[in-house]
Amino acid sequence: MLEINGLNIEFQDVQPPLRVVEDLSLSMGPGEIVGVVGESGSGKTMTALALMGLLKQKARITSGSMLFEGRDLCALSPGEWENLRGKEISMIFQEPMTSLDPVMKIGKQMEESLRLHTDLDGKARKQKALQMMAQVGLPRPEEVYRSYPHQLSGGMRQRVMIGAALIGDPRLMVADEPTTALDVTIQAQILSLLKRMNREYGTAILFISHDLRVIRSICSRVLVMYQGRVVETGPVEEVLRAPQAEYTKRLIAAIPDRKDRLRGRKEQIWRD
Amino acid sequence: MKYLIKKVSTLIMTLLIISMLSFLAFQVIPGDAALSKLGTGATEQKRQELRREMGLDGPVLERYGRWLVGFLQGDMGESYTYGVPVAGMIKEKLPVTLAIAVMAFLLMLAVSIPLGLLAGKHAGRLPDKILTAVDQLVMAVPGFFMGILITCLFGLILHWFTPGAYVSYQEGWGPFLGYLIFPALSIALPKCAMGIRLLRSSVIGELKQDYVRTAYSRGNSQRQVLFGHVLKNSLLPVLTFWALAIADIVASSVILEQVFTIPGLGTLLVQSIANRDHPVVQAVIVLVAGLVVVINFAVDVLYGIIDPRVEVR
Amino acid sequence: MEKRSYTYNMVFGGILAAAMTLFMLMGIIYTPYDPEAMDPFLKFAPASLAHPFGCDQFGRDILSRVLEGSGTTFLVAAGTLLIGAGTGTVLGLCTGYFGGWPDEVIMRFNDLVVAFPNILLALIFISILGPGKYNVILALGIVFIPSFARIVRSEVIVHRDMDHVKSARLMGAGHLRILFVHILPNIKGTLLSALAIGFNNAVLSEAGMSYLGIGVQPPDASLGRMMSEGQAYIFTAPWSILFPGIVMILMVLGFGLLSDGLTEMSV
Repeated sequence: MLEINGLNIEFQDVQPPLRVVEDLSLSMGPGEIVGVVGESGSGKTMTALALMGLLKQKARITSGSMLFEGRDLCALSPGEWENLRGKEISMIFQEPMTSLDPVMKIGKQMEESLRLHTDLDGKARKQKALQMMAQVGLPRPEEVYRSYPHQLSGGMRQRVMIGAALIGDPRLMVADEPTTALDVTIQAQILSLLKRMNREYGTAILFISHDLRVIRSICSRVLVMYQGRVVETGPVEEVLRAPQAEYTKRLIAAIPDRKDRLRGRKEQIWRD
Repeated sequence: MKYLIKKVSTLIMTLLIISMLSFLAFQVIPGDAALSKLGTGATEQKRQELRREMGLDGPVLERYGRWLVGFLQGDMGESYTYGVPVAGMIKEKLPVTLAIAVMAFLLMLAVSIPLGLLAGKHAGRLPDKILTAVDQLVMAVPGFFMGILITCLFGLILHWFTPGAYVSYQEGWGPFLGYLIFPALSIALPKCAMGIRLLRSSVIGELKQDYVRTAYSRGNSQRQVLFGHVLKNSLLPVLTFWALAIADIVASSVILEQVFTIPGLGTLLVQSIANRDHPVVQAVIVLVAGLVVVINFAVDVLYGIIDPRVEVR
Repeated sequence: MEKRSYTYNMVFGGILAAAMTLFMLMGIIYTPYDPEAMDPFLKFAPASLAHPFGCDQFGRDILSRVLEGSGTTFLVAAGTLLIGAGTGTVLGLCTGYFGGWPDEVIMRFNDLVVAFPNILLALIFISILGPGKYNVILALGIVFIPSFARIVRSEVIVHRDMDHVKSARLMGAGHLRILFVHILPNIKGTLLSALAIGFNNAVLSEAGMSYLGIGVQPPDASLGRMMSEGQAYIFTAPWSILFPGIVMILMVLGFGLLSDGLTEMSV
């Protein structure tokens, strides 16, 4: 479904041009959840933005190809991009607090993709939006429909973002650190929501995170990125069990193991 | 609702304080109005009589109360100079000044919203730089000089109107508004310059926000992002400026009426100040002040409706 | 944001403001001709080497009158700032620093006044005090107090709880010392920028009032009144209104740019 080959992205406003993504290749099948892991500055967000055609003007794809269902994304016109975004590929972001328009009602934001890409009338759109709100686990949809972002918690906002991203029934969703800004318990809820939506809608998810644990809990395959390059790729469990690249080993070593976490929890209880 | 009640009570308080202050201000004026009306030759008894007749006797607060009740009932006293009721004089002039102010306000919005958006969106490019430079120049032009320049350009060079040939609204609204559009333009231009500047920086700030990226990710075009999301968000901070601009517009109208020789509230005010016709000055000031305060109140309430975040603050 | 030491606004505005200040100061002490001397032969004389700005309807030298008027403008603006900014700054420092009910009362009062157009307030004072140079200074000065008080107050509140002020307090510095040695220097940028804007507002208000004939009175020259007189001759002798206008625009432009530059630098 998605086939990226030898992708290079450069910042061209500096001399010499700064290469932020180098020779990245990736393929995804329909309904698959693939993770991209790496530290900040490793080029994972750039890859995501390139896939959405949302790279800033300073950053440019210098070579490589991105084929989405047989179409070359690099050759799309702005108008074709607009038709694709929100309808076939959608995206959710790291900061649920700021990623929603503060002065637009939740309902309107939820159904925006429908308004842009379908002929549904207002009533039908609202119907679908309310359904989707129930789907993503928002309580009292009618009430939330009429409220504004500042009236919702971070977890609820991220549920809104997910619902709004899935309402147009896209084939691929790019999730850029969707749980990083949330509490651990909310994180788990959002991850299981994403897994459920993936099963029910068959939407493939490109999941970007700096956290291997999160990747492990949701993805089947993973790409490890370091300084703009893919240093390792394969099924998640395999990569975790037998890492090849030095960087991956360090990443795995940085995960606190279960014993540590248990100890941590005990200390927490003692302190309380 | 609680928000509204709080706002309304502040409004009433403000109106009371303003009327009291301006009433008191005219009590400390040196000189005796009765004396100046009768001349120094009058007897003491005659002066006392006239004082009572003019409502100048009794303690200050009592006089304020009497004056306020009268004012609210439309009795604003009598002009010292012309001996006619002030209310009638004002009633005749008020529509003129209001027409100028409203037109200036609308012109300001009509010019500064599109240009501010444009400048913000294309910040740093040539049209933006030219606009910024013109902006700075326009803001430096004194209001009445702008009026003179506009008279010169549209009246004397282009012959779109005859300077000084004001037509009263009683003779026809078309020619009336057609003449007033020029003072309105003179008032609006400097306000536009400021508005464009504020909106521009507001748009630049909003375009960097995360929700803009979200809007693009849903398939909005540039235009749709700008008009559907960015516009409303960037207008909010500028709204406060526009509320304050209303007061300034009314004040500028006082001056521009002189430039275009229009017999409005401003001309009345200036003449009355020169003639030391205090009842008229007092009434005009209280009226204008009340108007400004009420408009500010309206903008405040409007702000609460447009920005959903206000109520929780 | 990167911090540039000098911006375009700062340099251009600084130079222009300095030049115009010199021009105004010169107007106080020197004019090439007697600004009041009339010469029927020079009535509406256009610009020449002897009279670079031309002559007006009475044959008076416009350059001399513009110089003298600029001098008056400077005196009025400076006097206004002295009263307005001086009182406003002290008021803002005290209310911001000490807080409490005086702060509350003064700020409520401020809210009331700030929403009100400057020139209208000044007109109230003028109608009570009567016109004239010193009354204009007094009226505008009083009118300007609230805006300065408000600006200074909000800055003081920001700095009041900063670490360097706290440590000064711990070391036993008195309130006065904290206010004037530890807080005031830190709000210098904002204050200077507000002063430049205030200067412009004073210039524009004075011009407006004098244009209306209820500001500066003869024999004091005033740019506003010159333009009001010249308006009738805008076609026969445009220089009698253009030159005072241009000088005034340059003044306001210079101080406006300077204020922008100062704001950019203090960000």
